[in-house]
Amino acid sequence: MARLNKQLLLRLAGVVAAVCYMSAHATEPLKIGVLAPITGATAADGARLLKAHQLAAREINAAGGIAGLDGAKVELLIADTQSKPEVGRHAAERLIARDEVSALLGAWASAVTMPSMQVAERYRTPFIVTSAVTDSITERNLQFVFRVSPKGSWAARDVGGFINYLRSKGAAIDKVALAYEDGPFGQAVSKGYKKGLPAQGIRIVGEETFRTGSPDMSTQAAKLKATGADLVLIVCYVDDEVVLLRALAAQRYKPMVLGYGGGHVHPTLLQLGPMVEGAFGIVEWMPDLKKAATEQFAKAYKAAYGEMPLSNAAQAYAATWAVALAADAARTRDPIKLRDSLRALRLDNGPASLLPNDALDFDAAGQNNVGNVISQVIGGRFVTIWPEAVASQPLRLTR
Amino acid sequence: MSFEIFLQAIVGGLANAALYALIAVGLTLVFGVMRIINFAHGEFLMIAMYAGYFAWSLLGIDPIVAIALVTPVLMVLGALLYSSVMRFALRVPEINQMAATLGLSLLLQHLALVAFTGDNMLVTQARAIAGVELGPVVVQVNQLIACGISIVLLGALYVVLQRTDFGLIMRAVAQSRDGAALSGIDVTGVYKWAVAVGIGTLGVAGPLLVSLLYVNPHVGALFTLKAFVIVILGGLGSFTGALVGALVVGLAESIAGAWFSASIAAAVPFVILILILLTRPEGLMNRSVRA
Repeated sequence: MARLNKQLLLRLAGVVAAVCYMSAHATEPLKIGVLAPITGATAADGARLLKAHQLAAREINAAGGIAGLDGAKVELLIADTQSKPEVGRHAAERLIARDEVSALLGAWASAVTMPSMQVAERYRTPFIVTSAVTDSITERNLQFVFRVSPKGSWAARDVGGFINYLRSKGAAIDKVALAYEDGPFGQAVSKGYKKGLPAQGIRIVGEETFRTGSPDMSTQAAKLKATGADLVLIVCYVDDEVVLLRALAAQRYKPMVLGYGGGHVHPTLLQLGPMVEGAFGIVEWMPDLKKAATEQFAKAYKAAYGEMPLSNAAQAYAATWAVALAADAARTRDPIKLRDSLRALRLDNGPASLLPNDALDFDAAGQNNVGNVISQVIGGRFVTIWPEAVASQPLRLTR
Repeated sequence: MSFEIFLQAIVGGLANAALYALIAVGLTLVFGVMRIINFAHGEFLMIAMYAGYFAWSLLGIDPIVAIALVTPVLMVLGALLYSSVMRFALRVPEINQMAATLGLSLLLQHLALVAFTGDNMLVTQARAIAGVELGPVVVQVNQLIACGISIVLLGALYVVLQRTDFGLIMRAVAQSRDGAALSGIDVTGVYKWAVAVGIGTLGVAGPLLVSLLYVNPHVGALFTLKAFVIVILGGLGSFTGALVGALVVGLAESIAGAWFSASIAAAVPFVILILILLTRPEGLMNRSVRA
């Protein structure tokens, strides 16, 4: 009796295993690991990133999956980094070793991204950095690391390029001053400006700092006015920018202003009305970029989530599509072959081409050669005005 | 640094000091009378700022006029604070008192986050960007208004505390709770009034501040820390101490900000605080308790 049972069990197990194998093989998905801060200090950003990753996966699957893999669906395995480097590293290890993902995407902040991508490098699995901007990420000769977002230092390059563009359009910009919040964010960006701008023939004549949450910036405004700068480069969060702009206005000093990052395309700023009309901002992506892929993405995102996407959502979306298209082109789930396919990828149309360069294309170091764009407040809205190739409206010079 | 910039820093510092003093007197009043440190003080300021904002955005009421509406509301909230939290906090050890008001502070911040979202809200009036030239110095019109109203209110509070029976009773309770009770003073009633007035001053500060700054659920925390430094510097529970402390912090911050980078300037009030605590632990304006 006991022997019979054992035999029966063995046979049953065999059948079950065979069925499982067959069904698993027929629909085996392309597994993509996503590292995102779902809890912790940057949880709000993580939620936005996930929305974009999931939108891309849904679109790919709804269109019949990955043709090169017999219609395999994309499966996102999402791991919470808790906005902490250690947790991110462990999550990357688990996704690769246990869940056997074909590629990893993530992981928001540079501090979390860098340890996580080193795990991927060691396990020979491609890692696409979606939004971290620390330059060195793609300067370490890593073989499995790719990045869709620009390097942080390229902001200074692009601001320089834009200032020279303004000059070519007849704007008299001789002197430039810096105003930034005296924390890691403001210090890092202004260091890039101070290093990069003089090389492009731009003279920085003054530099003012303030603490986040300062109730009064009249002294800083008076000092900026005293420099006589034609353009003030501002690096801070949106609440401080309100206080600074009001202080500048009270001094009857009306320079051109150019703010840095997402804080400068923030709806809060538009509440200031005519005062911010004409103000510039440098940002990695805008939902009104003049590209077919951008228009489609912005529409789909708005329809799915009821809000306009931010730049990091576009980057997450492009990265997800890039993995699926690379797997499709090489007909593979194998991480190493996928890496080779990513290297050869050049996407100048389709959903992954929504970023402001000609084509999503990783160079030998894995870096996507993509610049920043400049927005301007025109008619109470943020619109892209530079580079001209992707501008949705022409530049408006108010002075 | 030119002389004009130095003057600008002094004027900016004085304008800040007036507002700081207005925020700090409420804190010191409650502590002086009840011996409880209210860590949620900044959150009541935040509520007053939201009240000022909504009076302007929904009802079209100028923030200066809104003071007349917001102050009674804040006084009622103060009385509620006494009946709901502080009344019970009086009976427990100091560490529990701190935990209670600290918890209230976090609770109010998170409730505000739920109710108003984390976005900044702005009162945008034409005068928000107007400046008045005083010689080489430019003062923002709203700063000037805030400064003026603060000084008037501080003066009125001083008169009430020093010259009226109400002030006398309050000072009596502050000096000795038991003594006051033995003389037939209704101590509970005085406590309630002290908290109502202490929180009520924020009803004046809130609408003034929101027209200068912005309001979000965490804005109160920016001022809580400053108010503490001011109150400790001047001497806990001392009215004139809060005024002197506010002057020191406002001027030091502003002048240091004109000279050094912002991070160093932000540290200056704390350095002063440490120096004063080392030399005069009871604060600048409190009478020395040492022999």
